[in-house]
Amino acid sequence: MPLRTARTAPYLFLAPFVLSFLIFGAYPIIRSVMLSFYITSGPEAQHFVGLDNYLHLLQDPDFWTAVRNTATFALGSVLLQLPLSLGLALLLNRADIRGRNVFRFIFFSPNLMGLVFSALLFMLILAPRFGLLNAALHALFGLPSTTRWLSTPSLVMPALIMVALWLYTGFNMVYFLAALQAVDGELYEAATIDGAGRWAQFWHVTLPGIRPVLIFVVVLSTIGSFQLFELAFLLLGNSSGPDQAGLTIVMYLYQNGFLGGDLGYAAAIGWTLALMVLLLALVQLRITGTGKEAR
Amino acid sequence: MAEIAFRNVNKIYPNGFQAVHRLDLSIADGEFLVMVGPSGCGKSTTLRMLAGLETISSGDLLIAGHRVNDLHPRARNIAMVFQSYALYPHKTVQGNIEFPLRMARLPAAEVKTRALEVARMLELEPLLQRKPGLLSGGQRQRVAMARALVRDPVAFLMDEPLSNLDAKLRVQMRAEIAALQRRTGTTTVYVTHDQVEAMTMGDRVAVFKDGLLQQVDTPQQLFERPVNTFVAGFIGSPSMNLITARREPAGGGPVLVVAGERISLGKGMETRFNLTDADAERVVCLGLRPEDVVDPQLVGEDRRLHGRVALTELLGREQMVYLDLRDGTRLVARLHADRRLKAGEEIAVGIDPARLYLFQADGRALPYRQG
Amino acid sequence: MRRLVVYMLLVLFALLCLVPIAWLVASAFKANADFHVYPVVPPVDRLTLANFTSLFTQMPFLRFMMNSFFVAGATVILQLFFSSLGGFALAKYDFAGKKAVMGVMLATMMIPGPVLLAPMYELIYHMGLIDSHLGLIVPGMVNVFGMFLFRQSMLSVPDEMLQAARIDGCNEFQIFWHVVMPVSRPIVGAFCLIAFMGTWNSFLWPQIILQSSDRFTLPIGLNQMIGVYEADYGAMMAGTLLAVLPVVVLFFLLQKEFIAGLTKGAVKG
Repeated sequence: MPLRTARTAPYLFLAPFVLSFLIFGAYPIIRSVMLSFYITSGPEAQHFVGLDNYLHLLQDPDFWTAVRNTATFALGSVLLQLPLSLGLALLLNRADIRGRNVFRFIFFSPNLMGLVFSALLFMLILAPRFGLLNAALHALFGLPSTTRWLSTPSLVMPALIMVALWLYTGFNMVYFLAALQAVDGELYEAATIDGAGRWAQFWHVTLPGIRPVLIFVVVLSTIGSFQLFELAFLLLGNSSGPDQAGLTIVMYLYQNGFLGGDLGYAAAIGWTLALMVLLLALVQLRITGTGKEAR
Repeated sequence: MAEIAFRNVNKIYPNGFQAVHRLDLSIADGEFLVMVGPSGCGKSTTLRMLAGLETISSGDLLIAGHRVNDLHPRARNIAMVFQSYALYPHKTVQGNIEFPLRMARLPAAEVKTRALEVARMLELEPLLQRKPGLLSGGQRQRVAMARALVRDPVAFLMDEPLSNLDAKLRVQMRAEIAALQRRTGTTTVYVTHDQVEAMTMGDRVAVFKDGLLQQVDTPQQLFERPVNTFVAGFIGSPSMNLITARREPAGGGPVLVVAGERISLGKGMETRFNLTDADAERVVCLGLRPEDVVDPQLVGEDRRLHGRVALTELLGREQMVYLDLRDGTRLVARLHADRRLKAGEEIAVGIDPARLYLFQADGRALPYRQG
Repeated sequence: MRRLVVYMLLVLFALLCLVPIAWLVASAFKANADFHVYPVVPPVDRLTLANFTSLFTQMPFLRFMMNSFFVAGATVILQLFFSSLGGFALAKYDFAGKKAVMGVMLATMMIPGPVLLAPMYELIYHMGLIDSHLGLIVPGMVNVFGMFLFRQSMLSVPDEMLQAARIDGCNEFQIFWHVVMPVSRPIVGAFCLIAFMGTWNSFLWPQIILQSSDRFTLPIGLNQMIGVYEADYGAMMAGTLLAVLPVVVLFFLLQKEFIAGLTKGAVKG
């Protein structure tokens, strides 16, 4: 709608947003690149080192521990969460199910707790002796009630994955359910008439129908999992856990930048994380993209 | 007082498309002007330029003598009814009607009185607290009218306001709008693609085609003296037959050759045209409204056309007859239904020179006789 | 028969979702001594309000809550105003540079947040906003996701409605304020809930910026309390319960809009 008198309006409307975006969005991104070429001690003392931060990072065993832990968490949560979310969505989407909205709300409710407060709650649920989990395992299966979930290195990641499962399964299910409900019902009728059974319908109608949302959720869950911090940090008592078993990439960034004061190293860790996430997303898109062409 | 004038106005879109060409048009104070034409003819663009919703590429737009090209719509004091009605869905009917007055910062008491007054006039009182989503199409239309009427604008603009209504309601609202306009006496510019609406509502009708204003005249003048083949074909329903014709000079007076048959115009004094020899020479096209085809018995042998009936449509007392003339040209005639015609039947029809229209090669009508 | 199995599965998972929350509620009313005696739920007559009393009398819980409300409230209002106005401009006007603006914003959305922590800290440090609520609010004003959410939603507001408002005497800002925003009520609701949850639960940035305990927000404060009042599990659970309550209330007020907003973004990718 071109109108001479209204020509300045969009610029005025966009100005506050763009201005604050330039200061708190664009500038920090550029500055972050520059910072990653410096060794710093707090925000005042800086010393140019070129690519040394990145080179050092590649040989930093703690960083690789963080990458390994984070990748384990991401793989574990995506592989467990998404099939479960999709399964629940499929169950809820059945025509003969009553109380769909009630179930949807219940499944979604852990998400309302929020990441931080869930972590505080699960700190006690996972506690040995008086924690709910151990009590339940003891009562149901006679397991010992002394399992120290958060101080046994091999149990830290399973515990984190379990809490994330509780927290995010219902959230992802809301997306899947919405996508399923958007699939044209006549397609199923047509498929039935064409002689497709339940499985054939799932493969040829349901999956293609929810494909965009599926990819969206997979990519976003992976990106989110790679930024794991709060859950581990809080559950492990503001530490990286026994034997660094709960050290994540963002936690390592936090330790170096804000406990150690080296903002430059933190920036380098940040960009390395960004690069990994980008590559992963591209790989995922490529895999799902070629899958579509083959069909 | 609030005369509106377009002076050599052009509208060219950024993509180079010229929607309006050199428009000169004056609308008198209190007049009801209808702009009509097929879609894409520039009528809506013209209305929107008048409203201030489109910029004017060149030329001047004057309201009451002042150039308003660069004024924001709110500064022009005009009211408009949109095709989609564009009611605010979050406001009640009353809220919608009051909105322009609130924006003009009138005192609350006056806002309310005027809104109620208009609501009463349009019989909207029982609906005042409803939201537009709960209204029928006709009711929404009334609310849109009320929102325009509640102001005291220099002009009402209406952009196909009836096109979303069903046929019966459209006829009813047509009469209501015309009556309202006469009552308020406010200059009104009304856009439609429906020539029946144009002919029944307007004091004057402006016919557009391809961004060019073809003719502005009273409905009667448009019907009786169309300036070119486009106006002739567009105005009137069913459409006028436009048939290739050629003048053959002969001793007895002007004679037209139509579909291989000769039609005598006598001395030419019966026609509505000023047939000097030079003009008649230029005739290439003959216009004949279907209802003007007459019984062959009423005219002489030298004023008949013959053809084969291709199709008939019965319309109660009358019938539409589609004839293929001797050279294959199609002629539509509206005849009495008392004579049942069969497809393939050969019949003759009569031509009354007084009811003929004659056009030149460029589509313009021959000069009409004065008076 | 098959339907019964489906229901059993659904109920089982519903229980898994609800039991931890129920345990949170029960624990909030549990005396500290009872944690070891009754791991699940103590008898009703042993429930107590003592945890809440100590939260408000012996711990600065109320201050944390006020801080959280202030920071989240201010951030949401600023974000709402900036994002909706920007989204409106991008949805309903054509102007030079529009594509460039959208391209740059989309590109920056791809960059994970932690990349910005170091430079942002530096920036806030130089602005002298370390250990202040402004240090949380000011960088939080920009919500690119929110702006695209508004743009997407406002694209569907009919042009004729804006034109009608223009004719009715609105200037361009009044069109936004009197017509576009009221019409966009559902998306405003969804946005407010999403933005509120984001700020309310924000931990890492406040953890970096805040130093004085009287400025702590709830997540930082509760986390700190664990260290200071060790083994006061009851108070911790009571605090967690109260901290979650505002989000739950807001959710019930806005849930219809929220689900719609969530999935609208998803379908558009």
